[in-house]
Amino acid sequence: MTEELRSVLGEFRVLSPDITTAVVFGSDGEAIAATEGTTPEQTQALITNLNSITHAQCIGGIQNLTIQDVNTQLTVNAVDETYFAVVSSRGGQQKVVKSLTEVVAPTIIRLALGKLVVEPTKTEFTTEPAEVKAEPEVLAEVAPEEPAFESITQPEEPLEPLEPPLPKAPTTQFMVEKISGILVPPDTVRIDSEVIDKWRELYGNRQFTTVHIETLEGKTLTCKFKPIKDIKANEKGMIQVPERIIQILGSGRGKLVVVKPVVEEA
Amino acid sequence: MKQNAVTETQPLPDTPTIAVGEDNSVFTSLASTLTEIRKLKGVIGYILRSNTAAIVDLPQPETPEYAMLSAQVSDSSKGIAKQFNLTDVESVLVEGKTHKLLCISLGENKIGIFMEKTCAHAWIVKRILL
Repeated sequence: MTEELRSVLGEFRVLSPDITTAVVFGSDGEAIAATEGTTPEQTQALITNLNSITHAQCIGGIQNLTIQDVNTQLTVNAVDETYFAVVSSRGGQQKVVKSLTEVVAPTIIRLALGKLVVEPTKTEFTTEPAEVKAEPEVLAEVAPEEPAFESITQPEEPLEPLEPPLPKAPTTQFMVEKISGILVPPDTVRIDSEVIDKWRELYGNRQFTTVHIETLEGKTLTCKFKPIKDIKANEKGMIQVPERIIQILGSGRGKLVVVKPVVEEA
Repeated sequence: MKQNAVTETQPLPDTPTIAVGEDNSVFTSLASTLTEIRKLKGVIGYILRSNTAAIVDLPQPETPEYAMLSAQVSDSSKGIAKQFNLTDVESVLVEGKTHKLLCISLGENKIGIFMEKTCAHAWIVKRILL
């Protein structure tokens, strides 16, 4: 299993040349896997130095550690009882690096170490006719609603520290499922209502009517959303996305996206 | 008159709880910047130390814990950076479940700033390094 994990870590360097080194190690100090070229001394130094931080309880333990120099950064992320360390360039495609290290890697590590159980998703084929067979006149009434897409530009670091900060937007990872049909608005995705309820609990009376979707390739989009009521067990973890949004995101059925609510400022 | 390195100095107006000695102009300038940063929403305290002086403004009663953590992170990050060829470390950020710690070394002056997780640390790094 360690060998497989090592191969996957090696692939990260192919996917993002900004990544130079990746190491997975246990909180007990055991080195689990590392990319080629990483010396045992480097891994050991990482483990020893992290273990020597013994007073982290006052900030709630170590979830993440980032060391930045002018051109390079080293990030260590906690993944359950293991740590995942990556050395990468500070320039280049940070979104790709972030997607790989914060989304893909933790999932793969959990899978490799048997900490994640994935329920196989079944695709149900039906021979039943489509829900609505609309006449051309009806089509004209229902279809052409102008989609309300907004392209996202990466904002500068917020410089208003005196405002009360909002809780950090929770990001949820979903697998894309395509939806189509005459009654499907092309600018609205559908998300598990339980996830939406959790967001509402977090934000109280703050309004959010749109969500921010990001693919692993770093493409982003903000669009409206609707809850999926009566969700089936095999639809958990799915986001239902209309064809138009899938095209804009360059995503596809079965691909992973990260979604978070866009909360309006008070 | 030049002040002795281990005599108590007048605290800056905004409540550093311990101030021992006074060192150099960089130290004084950093102390003033940190006093401003301390007022930011989400910043819960800081420690500034050089070889001969220290200013500590950390919440009680965990002050020793915070100070120890700051020193440990500073030392450990040096060891890690050396092994991974990070030659000129600008900043070290440690995030926990509840708070985060930003450590910056400027020559002999070492800074540790504790803040809420929502606080914009990148802005603070820029403010100190510029």
